[in-house]
Amino acid sequence: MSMLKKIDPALSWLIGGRRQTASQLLLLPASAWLACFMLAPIALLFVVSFAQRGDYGAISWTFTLKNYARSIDPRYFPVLMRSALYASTTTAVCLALGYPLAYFISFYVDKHKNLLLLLLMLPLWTSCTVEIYAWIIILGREGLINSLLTQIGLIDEPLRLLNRPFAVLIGLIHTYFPFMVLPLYSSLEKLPKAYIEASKDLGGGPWATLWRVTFPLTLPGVFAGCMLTFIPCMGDFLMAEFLGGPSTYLVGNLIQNQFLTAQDWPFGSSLSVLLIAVMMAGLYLQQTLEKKHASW
Amino acid sequence: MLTRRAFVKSGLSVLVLPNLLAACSKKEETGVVNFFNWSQYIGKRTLETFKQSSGIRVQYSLYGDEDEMFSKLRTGIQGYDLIVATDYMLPKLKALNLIDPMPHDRLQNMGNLDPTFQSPDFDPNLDHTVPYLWGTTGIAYNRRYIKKTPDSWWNLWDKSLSGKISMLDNRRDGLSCALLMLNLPIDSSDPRHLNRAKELLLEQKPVLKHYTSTTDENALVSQDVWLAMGWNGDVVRAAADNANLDFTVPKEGSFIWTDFLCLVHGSKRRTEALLLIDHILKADVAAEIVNSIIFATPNLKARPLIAPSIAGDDRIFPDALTMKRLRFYALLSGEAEALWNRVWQEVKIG
Repeated sequence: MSMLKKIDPALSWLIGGRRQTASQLLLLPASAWLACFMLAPIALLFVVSFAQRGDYGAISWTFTLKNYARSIDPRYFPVLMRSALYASTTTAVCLALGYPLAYFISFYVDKHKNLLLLLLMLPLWTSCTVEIYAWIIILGREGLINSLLTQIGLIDEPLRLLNRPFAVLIGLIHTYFPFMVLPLYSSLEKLPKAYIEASKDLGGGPWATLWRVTFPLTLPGVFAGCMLTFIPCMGDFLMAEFLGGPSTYLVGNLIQNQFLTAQDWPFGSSLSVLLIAVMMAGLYLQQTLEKKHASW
Repeated sequence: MLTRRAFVKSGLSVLVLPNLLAACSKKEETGVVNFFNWSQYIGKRTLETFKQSSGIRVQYSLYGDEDEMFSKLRTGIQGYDLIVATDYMLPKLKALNLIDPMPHDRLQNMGNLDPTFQSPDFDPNLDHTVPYLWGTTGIAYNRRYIKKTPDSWWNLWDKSLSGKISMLDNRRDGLSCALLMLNLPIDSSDPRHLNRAKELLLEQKPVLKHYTSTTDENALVSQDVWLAMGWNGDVVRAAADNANLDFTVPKEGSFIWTDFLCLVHGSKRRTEALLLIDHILKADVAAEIVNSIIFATPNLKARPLIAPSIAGDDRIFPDALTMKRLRFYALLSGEAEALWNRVWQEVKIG
């Protein structure tokens, strides 16, 4: 009890008001964490990206720009394009499926909101490996879908579903879907319901209300959801590795291979640095757009 | 179909499995040794018998992909004392000073080894290694769908089997096979040769279902794949789950790989690691390993103790005629290795 009394004033000082020292202290753990586990590794990548690969993958510390020259070699361009295509398709499908779902949970569900959100996040609790193997079982030649379709006589020969772009997309959509729905849901929740009523009072039908009131007002959520889906998709290599085939090689696989197989860390680093730079530019663009949107 | 092997081999992570059997045994524990090995690559009782005879407990860690193992050692993850590495990894491990010389005078059972394996190109005089197991690369196939025994690597290019073929995802097997098919030197560092090999492999890509880092056992058992480049013991073991599976060495020839026990540089438990190596070199222990995982051993004294069904299986211990078509992988210079890496990368992105 006495301990608590001693701590209490310190705690209220810390969270009590707008003291600068207090706010800095509160920020310290998170900043230290980010500095150690995000900034430092990225700085290291940056440094290594200017080094050279020595014999058998040793890093030789002689300054070179060759890795960057190789990274923008047109040979690797199709890989980048393919990744962008998979990431944007995943984002688009997640948005198309996620918006109605978020809308439904936000507007039509009363009692079981938390339960539904919990179910949505359930896939994030399972190991990614388990999810991937589950898809292999479902999509395989003698898998769930094929045996079902064969048994009801719809097909004679099993369909080839696995190790195709289709399977990679399914895996990506399944994994990143919650990252799209959660920000959409929170922006729909924040939307003052009075605006919708006002739209209806002023004679706006359901479609007009959706397109001219609800959707524009939830655009920040849409942007956030798209970014949270697109960015990790661009770097994903697991889905292509396990559900994909020879033609689904993505930029994530290329980078992973430099670090694991080819032991060409400098090249892998320069690829990563470039990818991070492109993503940062995208995020900057999104923020500028959002600010513009807010000032409308 | 969904075996534990599937998870372990996924290459996603190295599972650290404390050796439960050894932990349960009642004998007093006098030491510990950390052993880092391929998954499914030790006898069922090997670690237990080691604990019983020496009192040393083995902390056993697994990898499903050799590059993963190499990266772990390279990034300085501490604590491994003994590792298993394949021949072609040895130059890299030595160049980066990740393994230490092998003190043969402290191993009593070295004499059990077959002289054929005493001085491999990758490690003359076994200065850094002790050979552990060996096997061959060849074609795994499903007799139910492939009626005629595939006798050539060209079978893996068969357009009529599009989507039913898989290929090993490593430069060593992939490029060596293509060079062999083109009748080019298998240790070539000539960019023109490797370019031709690349063209050939790119031609194959449309018929492939996927590339896999180890033998495509699960897809072979589930019959998603009918033909695959793979390693002999894996296929023979997989045949226990699907009797249609068989393994053959193509007429163009193929390769023998050898896996070696190596001492990790800077390890603090040297004595324990050497005791474990010596244990594995015992004839009865080596035979028990072969009987469990069905790969061939370089341990000559162990041969009589191997189950006749395995000892007599010419897919595991190839006959003299097949042996003539098999050779060890070529030792590549640092420069050639970098070129092979680049070319293989181009195959993958193509």
